[in-house]
Amino acid sequence: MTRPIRSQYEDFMRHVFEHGVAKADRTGTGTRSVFGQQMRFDLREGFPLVTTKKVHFKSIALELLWFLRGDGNARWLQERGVSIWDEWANPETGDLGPVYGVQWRSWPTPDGGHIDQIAEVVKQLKSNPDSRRIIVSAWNVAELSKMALLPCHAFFQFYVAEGRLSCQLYQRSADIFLGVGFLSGIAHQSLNAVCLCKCGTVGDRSATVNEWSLVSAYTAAQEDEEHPRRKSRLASQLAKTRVPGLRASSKWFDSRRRAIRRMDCH
Amino acid sequence: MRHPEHQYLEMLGRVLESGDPRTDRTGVGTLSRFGEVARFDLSSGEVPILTTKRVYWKTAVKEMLWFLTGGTNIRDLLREKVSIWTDWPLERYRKATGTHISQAEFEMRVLEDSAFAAQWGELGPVYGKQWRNWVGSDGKVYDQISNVVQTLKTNPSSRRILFHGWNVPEIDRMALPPCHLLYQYHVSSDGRLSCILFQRSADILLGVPFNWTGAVALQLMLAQQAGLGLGEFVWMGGDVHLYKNHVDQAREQLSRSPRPMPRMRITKAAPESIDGYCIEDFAVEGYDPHPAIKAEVAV
Repeated sequence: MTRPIRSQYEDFMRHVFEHGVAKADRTGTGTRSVFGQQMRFDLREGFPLVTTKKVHFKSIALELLWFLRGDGNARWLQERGVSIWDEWANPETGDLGPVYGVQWRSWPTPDGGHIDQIAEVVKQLKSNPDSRRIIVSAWNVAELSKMALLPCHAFFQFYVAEGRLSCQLYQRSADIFLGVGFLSGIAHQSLNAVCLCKCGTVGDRSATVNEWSLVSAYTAAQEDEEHPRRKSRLASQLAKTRVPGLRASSKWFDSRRRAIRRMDCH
Repeated sequence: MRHPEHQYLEMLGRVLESGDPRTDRTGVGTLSRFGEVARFDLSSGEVPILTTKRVYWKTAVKEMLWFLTGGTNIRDLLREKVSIWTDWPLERYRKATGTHISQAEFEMRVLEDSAFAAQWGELGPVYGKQWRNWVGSDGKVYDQISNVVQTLKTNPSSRRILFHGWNVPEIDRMALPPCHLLYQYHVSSDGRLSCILFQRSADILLGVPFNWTGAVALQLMLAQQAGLGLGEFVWMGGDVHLYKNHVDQAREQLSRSPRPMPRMRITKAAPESIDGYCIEDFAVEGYDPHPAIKAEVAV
């Protein structure tokens, strides 16, 4: 039985606040930080969207879809009212360099070709679900210097047991207040797991999401939070919904967002 | 304080009792769990070299030193009397030639015949190659280890001090894709170096004790190079599995009680660079383990 998000995320934030060591950082703001933390969530019990503050779910969903497009330009997001990448984007062109989605969908090879890691994951989940190599990486050593922002959620690994899909995310750098609770973190990768889950079946069984664990290398918190209210129940709703494929339209997420509105958030 | 090795024993127990029975690449079958964590405080000098069985720590450290050379041929390992990577090239040779050469004979030929070694002792672009000579699609070469040392010295508060071996286009050419996938480092404000090792696939009986030992040896070298003390070693496992032909060995190990943790230290002053270490520079003290436990490696 994994502990629900309400205690894990909030206790974790308290832990960082109380035990984190002060560190200077790249941004000049200063952080409190701890190194090497893990959280895990059983997605059968609900969708781990933080409820102690309102999380803008549409931005999360659109960012994920944008990643899955293999996009390295903020325009597509901007056209949909999502501004989270604007501060790193080239103001003229919207360009961000070969960030997340570019590596996920088209990691360049020396012979001029590209590797679509997401397609490989889907293929393996269908044909070889016991594999220990179902991994997506955004940390392309040779292209880091061209990225507007280095991957924070750098690796994720999928795992199938009893027809249930689990995901482990390795995040080298985790802004616990904005990042983990919000965009790059919990809800994001759960959605990712749900998406992959829905676009394929494992053998004859339809796969359901089991568990998602966040392995966070490095977390920094500057604020503590109030008590959680009840967590969202999105996972079960998502599990009943058909997704057309990886390039699911944002309409699908909009419909999911309506489900989120029923959540009781601060 | 509770003995840190109980983390390993409890994990082994969890895999044994509640692991998912699965088929696997090797055909042996495993019990497996997904997402495990263990953490060890190295600040007192104690290191997680298991005491509930003898771990051949010198072999693990030699392997780490070999990774650091960027080498990918088993010949250099065999010169150090390390056979842990022989199984894969041996299997390849047997399949390709249809001969049933013994391991000893195969290793002898690799050692004596450089052309044979070049043809059959090569593992492809595994760990060391990626760590020291990662080649980008533009042909440029990146030395991730040197970058880590440099950053530890010049910008220790960085959140980007990491290296890994998962070079996507080259995975197909590796004898074995990286299991101990990613190493990340963190320097606390009081100058202590911590390490996270993220391991996507972990053979809990044979692999994990080795990987911990190697990773800690590397942490010692990096700390010395950067003039830092030691903090924590944190291990994170993806698919943590026990091969079905290791079950008896696991039960045997679980019946044993941990003994005092050994200490590992580097016995000489810091050399010019991370390339200046050899096995004689490492000492393990206070190591009085239970007897070794033999088990077959799945290839």
